[in-house]
Amino acid sequence: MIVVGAVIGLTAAMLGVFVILRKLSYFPDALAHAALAGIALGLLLHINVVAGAAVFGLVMALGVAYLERRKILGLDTIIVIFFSTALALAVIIAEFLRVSEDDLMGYLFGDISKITDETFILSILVGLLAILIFIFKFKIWTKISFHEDLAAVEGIKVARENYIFMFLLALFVAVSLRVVGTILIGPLLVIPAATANNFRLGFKWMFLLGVLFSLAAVIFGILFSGIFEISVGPAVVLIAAAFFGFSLFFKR
Amino acid sequence: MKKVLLSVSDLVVRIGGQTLVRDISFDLHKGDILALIGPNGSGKTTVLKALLGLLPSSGQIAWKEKVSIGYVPQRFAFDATFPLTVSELLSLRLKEARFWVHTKKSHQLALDALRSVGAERLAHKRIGALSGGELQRVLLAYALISDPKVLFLDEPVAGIDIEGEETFYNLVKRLSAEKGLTIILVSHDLNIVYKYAAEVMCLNRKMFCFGSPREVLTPEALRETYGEEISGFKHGH
Repeated sequence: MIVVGAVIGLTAAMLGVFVILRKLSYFPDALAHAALAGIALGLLLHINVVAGAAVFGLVMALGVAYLERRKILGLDTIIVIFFSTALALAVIIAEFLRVSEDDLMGYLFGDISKITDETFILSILVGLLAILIFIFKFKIWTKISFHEDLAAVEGIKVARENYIFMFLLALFVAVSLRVVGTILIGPLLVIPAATANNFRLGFKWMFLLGVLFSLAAVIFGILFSGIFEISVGPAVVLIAAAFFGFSLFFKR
Repeated sequence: MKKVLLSVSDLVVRIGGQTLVRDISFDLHKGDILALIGPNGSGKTTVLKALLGLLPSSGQIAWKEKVSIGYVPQRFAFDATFPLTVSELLSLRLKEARFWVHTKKSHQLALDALRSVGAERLAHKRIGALSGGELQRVLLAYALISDPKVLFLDEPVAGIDIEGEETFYNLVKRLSAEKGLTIILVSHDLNIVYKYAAEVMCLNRKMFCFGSPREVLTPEALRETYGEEISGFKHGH
């Protein structure tokens, strides 16, 4: 369990830094709600819920990225439309299926005890994939975060890179749902990176500290949830938030 | 006679059924400084972006040789929390430098680029903490560090005081002479155009003049480009 936690923590920190730089802090939340609809559909059709969550998340990532490129509406507005639609769909399917409250709570707030071998392996594979892509894309994504047009003039295919980033985010959200829960994935991505940025030490340090805070939050969160018999997700987020509060004292 | 570097004919930019600019045709020579002038909303930035390939366009944009391009975009509001330091930003553009490995060589290259724009003291500052004028210098260094042959500057000094503006253009002019750079810039300060540009293009949805500023910036051309508001300008100059 700690292994899954560590992989999720590491991946969350890496992706989280770019989520913050790109000002996409709402997006993981939206993906998580899309994933919830995917889970409900998975239960309805008797397919793997993680696969359902991933597919739904990917479709939403694609939809959001497409509409954002068309510049029809602001990104925040697009995200709210998608996310509320997905949530409504999820609730109706769940009501229809008469999913027990216990199960639903598990998906909302995480229940690592119910993690299957399949999900375990998937989490680790997605984590490794994310790390690999990340190593190759690091410079490119940083340039895009700095200025999209400058990146494009250099020959970077900005739209394609944005799709890759959103896809990766959607996959990550789907596999970590079981551990952290739908509602608390966004904070797990955002809070450690934000905490690290408070130290104002430059980008490299933001990264290293982000990974450190994220790993610590996830691992201690899992340990505490075992000891005090509480849900993993809230424990992780409370610890991350405590680090954030602490970092404010260092803010220069 | 200098060699033609860029030949543009019948450039049209149309977005969402609206024609933003049309009838743009000109030749740009190697080593020249070309200024695009025109009132707000006349399409200066649009033309620049179309030439950079950032906007879809029809017509011909023909570079006569393979060129590397540096670009300093219009001044943009920068998020004060952006974490990169200036030297981290510059090292992103160095092919030989790996981001995580801080080598003497990459550090030196970043410092050299900053020195060439008079900003070496900014190396360890965070981008988010720079003032407008400092950011423009850093962006110029970012454009120059990859050793471009052509430089695109989109109102690089908007919002900077007049002395800062003079210093910036003196710097650009010196760099252009030293490195043989060809420069396309957007400006709405006619004094700057007279002082620094070899060629000028008057623009207001379409091209009203192109050539050397002293020849083509006639009162008629300016009136056509700007409407009546500027017709008194020549007298005051």
